[in-house]
Amino acid sequence: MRERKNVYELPAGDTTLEWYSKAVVEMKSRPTTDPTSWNYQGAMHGFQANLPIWQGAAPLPSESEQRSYWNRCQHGSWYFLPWHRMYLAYFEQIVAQTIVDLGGPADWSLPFWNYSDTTNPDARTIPPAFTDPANSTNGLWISERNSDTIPANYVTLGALGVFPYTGDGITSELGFGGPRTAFSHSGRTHGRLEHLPHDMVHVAIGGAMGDPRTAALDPIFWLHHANIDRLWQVWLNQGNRANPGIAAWLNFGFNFHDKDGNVQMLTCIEVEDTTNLLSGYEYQGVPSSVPETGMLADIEPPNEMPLEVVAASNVAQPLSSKKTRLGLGLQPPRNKRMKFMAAEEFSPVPESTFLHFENITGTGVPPAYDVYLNVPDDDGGKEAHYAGSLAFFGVEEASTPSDHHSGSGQHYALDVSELMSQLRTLPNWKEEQLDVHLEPNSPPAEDASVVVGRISLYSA
Amino acid sequence: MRIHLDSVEFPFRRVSHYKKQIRLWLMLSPEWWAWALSGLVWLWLLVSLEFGMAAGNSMSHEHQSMVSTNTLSNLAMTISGGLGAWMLMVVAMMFPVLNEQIRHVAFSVQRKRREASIAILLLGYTLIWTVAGVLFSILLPYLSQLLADTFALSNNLIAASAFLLAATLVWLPSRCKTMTACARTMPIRIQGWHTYADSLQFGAKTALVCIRTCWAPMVALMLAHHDTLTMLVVTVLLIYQRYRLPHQSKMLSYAWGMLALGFILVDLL
Repeated sequence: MRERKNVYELPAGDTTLEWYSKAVVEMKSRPTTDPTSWNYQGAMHGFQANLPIWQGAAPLPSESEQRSYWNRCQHGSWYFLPWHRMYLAYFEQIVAQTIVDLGGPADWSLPFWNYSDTTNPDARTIPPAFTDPANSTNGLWISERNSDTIPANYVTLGALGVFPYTGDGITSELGFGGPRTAFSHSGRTHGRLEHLPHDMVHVAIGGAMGDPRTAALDPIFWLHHANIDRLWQVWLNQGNRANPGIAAWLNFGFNFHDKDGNVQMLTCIEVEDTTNLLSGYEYQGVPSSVPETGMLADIEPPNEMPLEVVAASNVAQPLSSKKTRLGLGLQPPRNKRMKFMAAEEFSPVPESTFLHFENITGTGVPPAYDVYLNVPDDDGGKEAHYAGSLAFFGVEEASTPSDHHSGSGQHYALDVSELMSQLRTLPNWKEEQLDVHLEPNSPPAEDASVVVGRISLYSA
Repeated sequence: MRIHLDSVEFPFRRVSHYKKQIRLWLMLSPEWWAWALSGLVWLWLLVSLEFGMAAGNSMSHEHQSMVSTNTLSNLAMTISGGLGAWMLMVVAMMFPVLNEQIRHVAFSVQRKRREASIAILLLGYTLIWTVAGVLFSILLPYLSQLLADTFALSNNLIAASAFLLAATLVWLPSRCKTMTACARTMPIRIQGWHTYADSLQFGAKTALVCIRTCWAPMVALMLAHHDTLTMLVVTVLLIYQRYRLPHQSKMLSYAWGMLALGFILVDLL
């Protein structure tokens, strides 16, 4: 069984990254029609022929093969975690075989990048082997990156504190793994882990990583996703948490190619236990165990009423390159009015309240936007009003009708329960209006734009 | 001896518990009454079939007349006569595939406007299908006559041809895109009448996508004179496709093919 190690804790003289680099170079030399090639593996996540990074990828597989195996990544769906676990498992198998063929060790495994490790001051920086030397002799380097470092608030792990796997923040709490969807899932809420840190890391690095149609061409992509996969196991190991126990999730299957280029199908139930997935693997410091499905509350029908919309914008809101301010008229029903009145004290158990950004459409790779509520006019003490950030990872793809997307755009939700409870105790609280401020984390590229179809507030 | 009230299970507590569960289920399943409407239509059709009266037969006869009408003077009467049956067909067959759209509207609007918004969504949806029904009822008699005159095809073989066409369309490269479009949503405003205007618009847009996806089997059904059992089979297949099959699946092609084969066999026998 393989052990996937922390890339920042590889012992001196370890050759894991050296062999990874050699394998990447070798896989890049294979034609795009070869399922074990770098391009083919990247295109399984996402592909768009007219993007500059894909120039020179021809000859391509047939249209029919592309439709069957490319652009398959699952986002805004409860299949996000299992699909990427399968994807990584076969990728690791292909890289490991390539390394053996090149004369390397037989036990190579994919390392993970734990950017949330607060004990490591370098954790939020892309490991040096991926940036130095910054030229084509380094298989792990690519020129299409905007930043090597991720802001601290983009790698926080609040998702691990969430109990249910499934949920959309409207009919129930926002789940760890995403909302229940069919395969065609365009426009659904991104799950907690998918949003933060997954999407935020993608967009913070930017360049190829900032777009699902090019992200898997960056060798760091695979270490990022190994970490997301590890966090799924960390979440389960905390107890009182379980994967969905219903057939629609357990028995849903996806196709991949193995190290010999043969098509293989895996279902979600087959990848729950990582020690039984292909040759099996565990993460360094994270024992692998899977709680028995069907035992926990996640699969029971929720015993609470769905949340209700209490405010919503009435026009689509383009996000500007500086600040965007929007007032949401609060219209709580009579039985919820108390929850939006000014309060003397902060409530330690706040009501569940989610700020939704719906039908987000756009072009290019926009930067992340930080969201603040009721910021004072002079911007003083803005950090105390921080609600979260939006990544817009894959917004152009989600805005374009295609074989895999309806074109309805993206949907993000921020849990603002505690913040709302705090804001109600402040002197500038207005019972009839909530001010939403959005600021780009970095200047948007010229070809990047975002329009939020509706901003809404849901309360329990 | 003291009795702790909590340990005693009063019948009314159980009733109250069930009432709460039912209320919760209704709240979380806003699509229930679209399914109920569809169920009622189906009940009427099946009961009518059993007793050999109205409904199924009337739908069949009405559409039989629709496809055999040649004169302009009869056209208006044919359309108005067949339109009721067509709308019932839309309610029975298409409402059950609208879970996603109904839930989108239901959870986008304030609770006090929920049922009205769903009703308006369904109204917008049905109106567009009705327009399609009028167009079909004008065009299909001529198409049917043309096929009968040119290739000497019986009604069964014409229906079989339409199901074969439906089977072929599943293999079109553009099919995936149209299937994915079924999941389209749009922002619904919550400010006053805007809620209803957006619900109506969303219903109409959804219907346009549905017509693009499902026109072929619906036309086949019209050419098959709305045979109730065939309708039932087609409905089950459409529901299965919507909720159980990946959008790239070609399985429905084989199902339409089997139906075409069924009509050919009936014709031969």
